[in-house]
Amino acid sequence: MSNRIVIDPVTRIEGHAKISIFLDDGGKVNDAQFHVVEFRGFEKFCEGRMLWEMPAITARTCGICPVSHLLASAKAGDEILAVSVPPAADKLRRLMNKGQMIQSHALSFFHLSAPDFLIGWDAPVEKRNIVGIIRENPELARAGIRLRQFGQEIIELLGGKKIHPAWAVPGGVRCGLTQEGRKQIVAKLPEAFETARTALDLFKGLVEKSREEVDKLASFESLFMGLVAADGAWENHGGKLRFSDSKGNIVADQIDARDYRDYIGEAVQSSSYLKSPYYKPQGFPDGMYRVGPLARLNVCDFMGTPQADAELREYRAKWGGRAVKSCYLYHYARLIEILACLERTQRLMDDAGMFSEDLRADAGINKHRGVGVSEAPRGTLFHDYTVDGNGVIQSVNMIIATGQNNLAMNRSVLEIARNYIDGNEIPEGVLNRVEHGIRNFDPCLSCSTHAVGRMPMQVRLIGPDGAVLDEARRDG
Amino acid sequence: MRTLVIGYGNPLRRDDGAGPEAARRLAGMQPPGVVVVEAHQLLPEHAELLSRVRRAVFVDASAEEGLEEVRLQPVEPAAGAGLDPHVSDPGRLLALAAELFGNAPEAWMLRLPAADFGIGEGLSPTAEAAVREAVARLADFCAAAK
Repeated sequence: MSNRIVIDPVTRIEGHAKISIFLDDGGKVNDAQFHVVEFRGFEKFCEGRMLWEMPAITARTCGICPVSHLLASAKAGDEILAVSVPPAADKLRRLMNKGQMIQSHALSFFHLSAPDFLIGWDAPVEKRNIVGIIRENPELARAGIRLRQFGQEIIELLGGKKIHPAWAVPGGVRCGLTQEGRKQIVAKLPEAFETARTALDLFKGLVEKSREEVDKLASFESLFMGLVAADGAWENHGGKLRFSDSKGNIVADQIDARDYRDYIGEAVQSSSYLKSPYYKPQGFPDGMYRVGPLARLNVCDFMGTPQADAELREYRAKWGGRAVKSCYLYHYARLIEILACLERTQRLMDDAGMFSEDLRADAGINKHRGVGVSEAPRGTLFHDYTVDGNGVIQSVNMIIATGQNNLAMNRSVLEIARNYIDGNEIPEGVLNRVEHGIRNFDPCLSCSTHAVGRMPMQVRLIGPDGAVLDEARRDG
Repeated sequence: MRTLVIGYGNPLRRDDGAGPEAARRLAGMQPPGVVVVEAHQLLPEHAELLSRVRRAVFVDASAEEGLEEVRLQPVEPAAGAGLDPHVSDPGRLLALAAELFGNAPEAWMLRLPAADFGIGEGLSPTAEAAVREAVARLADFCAAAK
């Protein structure tokens, strides 16, 4: 007989999901699945729209990471116009991407994930949230809010608003950074650096005492993918794709974004609205790969800025070299990326080339297909458009960061469930560890199913005869 | 600054954009001693801003049935509440301002009647009338608060 344990909804993630855990007759975990219960449909309803509308439309995919879609969409448009964006526009786009990464990573660490490892896995759910952080460590809570605010202010200074800024367009950007805006960013950088260092020191101290979490939340082999520069440096906006494996070997390198289909397949599964991308040469599901901070730090040769490089060396020395496998260490990688983004932001503030007024290359439709790729906070994001001669969208394919982590999230849930569940007794702390397995990835589920809709939510343990053995409800 | 006005809502859901539209029009009047914020939703980052003013007004379209006029009502900090980044709740935000930044201002909610929360841009006649009244009342409020 088989039993199914359902966690629905998963809390403290962006979007809505549920987890099903299947037990065998002996009460041992047999399988686990992560289901996404939202349907969005962006790929379909964008057909017939104009190319120039796409950045603004696709930015609405998500309120947490609209910038990522804005930038990937604009880059797809750049390809179709067959232009090179002016250097200042490229730098400004990179700056906005830094702001996006800083604010999103800060949200993930301080608001969504820290309650678990700072308040405690087994603490009551009513305490294990941002209010709990505020009460336990108000200075940390304040600093985290301000760090997120700093990232959002960079976005607002460039794009005019924090959410869904209509700023990046095919060919460039609409406007630059004012000198007043530059002063605001420069003035706030010291505090941002201090917060990033505080969070890094905190997590490094915690993780030394959390070997159990490192192993059990969860560690497994997979491929990794991310953008790298021509010299192998960590990239988050330009560069080309690289795949590496769990031994730290590069398996495919300097792949142009427009050739992604030669390397990435997408499997559709009946249990979820989330597609499952995989590395084609290894087939489905063996070609499981991870994206996002953990993957980016595995595939790159170095970070390219001094503080982040020092942290990367320490991280690699302690946790697995160029093949860090533990999903729990996504949090560590996220903090190193915040530091890298701050350093690069500081560098851009001193770059006179940022302030040129040459911000846009004008052209008509010169190609009928364009692929834009950018690193969203959660991983690599692809926008693939085909257009007719007038720039009317004929087809859209979007491969979302979180979607690329789908197979790995399933695997993570399975490993955690196997590590902690034995029989039908499921303490709250264990359910939370299973949920945290998903939070490690900081999934953005609104993006990854490219529907507005909510389903009734409950948790049921069902016996083989269909009888409800136990029932619980989790509020979102 | 003595007064904060936050108009929030989603301009792509028609009358839900009434809050930020009212804020935008008020900002154009440049009332002295007033910070005006247009926002898609209330965020934890607004808590520090709230802690630095003496009075705050939250402006939002209301889906309440039967609401036929612009209504101003006091808001108290909602003690013990969590903070969900997807839910805009002035009471929770005031509680966060008090707990984290040491001060919650005297606050009100200005609720605007709305007729259409469908997908699209632009306000219904109901919401447009509400925004015009809201801006006039906010201007008077800010002037009286000097």
